[in-house]
Amino acid sequence: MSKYALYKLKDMITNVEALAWSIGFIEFWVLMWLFVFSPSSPAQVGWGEAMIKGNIAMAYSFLGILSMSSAAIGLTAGVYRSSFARRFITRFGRLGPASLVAEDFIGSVVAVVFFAAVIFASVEVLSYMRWGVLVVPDSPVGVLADLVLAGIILYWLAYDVAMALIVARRVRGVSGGSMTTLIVGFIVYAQLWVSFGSIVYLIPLAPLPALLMYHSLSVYPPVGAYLKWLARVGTVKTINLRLAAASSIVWALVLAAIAVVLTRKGGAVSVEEIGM
Amino acid sequence: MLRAENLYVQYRWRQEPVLKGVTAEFEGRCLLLGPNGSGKTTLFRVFSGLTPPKSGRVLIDGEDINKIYARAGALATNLPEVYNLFFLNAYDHVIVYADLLGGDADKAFEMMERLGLRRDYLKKRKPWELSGGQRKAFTTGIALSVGARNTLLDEPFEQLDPAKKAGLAEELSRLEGTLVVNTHETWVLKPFREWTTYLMFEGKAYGPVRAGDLLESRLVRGEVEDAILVFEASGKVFSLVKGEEGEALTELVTLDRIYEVGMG
Repeated sequence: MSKYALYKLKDMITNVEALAWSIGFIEFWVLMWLFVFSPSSPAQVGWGEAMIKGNIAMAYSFLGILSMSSAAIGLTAGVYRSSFARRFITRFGRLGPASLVAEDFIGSVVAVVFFAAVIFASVEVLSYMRWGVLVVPDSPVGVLADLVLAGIILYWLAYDVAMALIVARRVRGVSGGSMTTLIVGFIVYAQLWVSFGSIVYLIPLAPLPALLMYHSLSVYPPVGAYLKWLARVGTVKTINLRLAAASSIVWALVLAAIAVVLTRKGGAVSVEEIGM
Repeated sequence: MLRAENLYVQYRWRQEPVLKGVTAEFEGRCLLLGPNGSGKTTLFRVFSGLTPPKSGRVLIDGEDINKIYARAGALATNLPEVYNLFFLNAYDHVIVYADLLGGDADKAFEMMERLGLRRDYLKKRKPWELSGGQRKAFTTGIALSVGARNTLLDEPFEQLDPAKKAGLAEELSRLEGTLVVNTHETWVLKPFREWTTYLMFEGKAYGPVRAGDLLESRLVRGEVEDAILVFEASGKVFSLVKGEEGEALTELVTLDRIYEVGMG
């Protein structure tokens, strides 16, 4: 292995702008969630410990994914910015195209999982300070696997957006296009209030909060409208966890396959054409 | 050894090609002289795998560039777009590139210091935050530290003061392998008089000739028999000849002035 993966990781976790979006911005939502949107005295609104635990697990699941989506903005910009350096390195450096993508992938996924872990830890600590309840995931390995899967999907989504912009020769679309991952993150976040029904299996990342909830609390979560489910208002259809896992894995594979196609097409676009 | 065979580069459909059938072979010490916008940098980008040609072939040490992958040490260049990998400072970029390209980071830092770029300063700036001259020193330092079999230097003397230009010229003379330096400045003919030289105008390459022969040549309009080189620029034919007639090529200082000569 070369130093590439290590420096990719350093690149992502020392970039002040990326840190501001993926940690600073999301921490604001952590504080809002715990200190503004959640009741200070759960007993007064009839919340038992199980409900508080559900609330905390939802907080780190949804905000963790939002944090990763935000970090992935930097991934898109990075892939775009470095696309020509990558072309040179893969020919005249010691990493071929596959090795470079592998190292880039490792460095990036570790970084986005790190951002999610920071949000996870801050939710745990702040919730404990507020309610004295600590939510230890029933399956830490499962939670980690879910976060890694989210990182993988976001990595390939960010990569595909950057390569699509290169293939389409749309230089001006970079800043707007980079936001794609965050938009997807907010679509996932919207599931707190709305239920997409069976469409949830067709949206990248959307079934992942359910998997996180399951691995955290060993409960079968709904297809959406999580707050309604938590407050036990009405009935919400329970998610099919196998289908949720299959959907996430298929999305990761589809996005990776698109990346291969776009990378090949991107090789035919010259530096001068996109003005780098 | 680098070889271009009938290379055409066109960016957009129906746009005039930037390279128009360039055939050239570079081995040992070589100069590529031409005015700004003549296609020198584009030719380097094609050799570096950054710009795909519309037609023609590029061979690096006899092998088609399309078949070359993970070949550290085959080619190094100072083209700035190659050194834009991370959002990290210039110092970190030197470390990563030395590792990836099989170069020597200490040698790169030493070279940069000789070109006026301090190591501690690199820790405070991202590559794109360096000034034009500093960035040239940064990319040239990395390219030279690789010790590649083929090295391409794009305008390495640009924005350097005379003392540093002389120091770099001396350094280049010591380099092993194939080295191609592209520039629009004609003073390089003097220190590099034994180097093989190609002239480049409007997407076409002319040569090879010995730099020393160009140094003694004069530029005249029209096609002259027994000329060292005949080329076209701005729709006019020029010849480089030995003798007293015309303007000495070195007096032009920069080949951009060819067009002034063409206007009479």
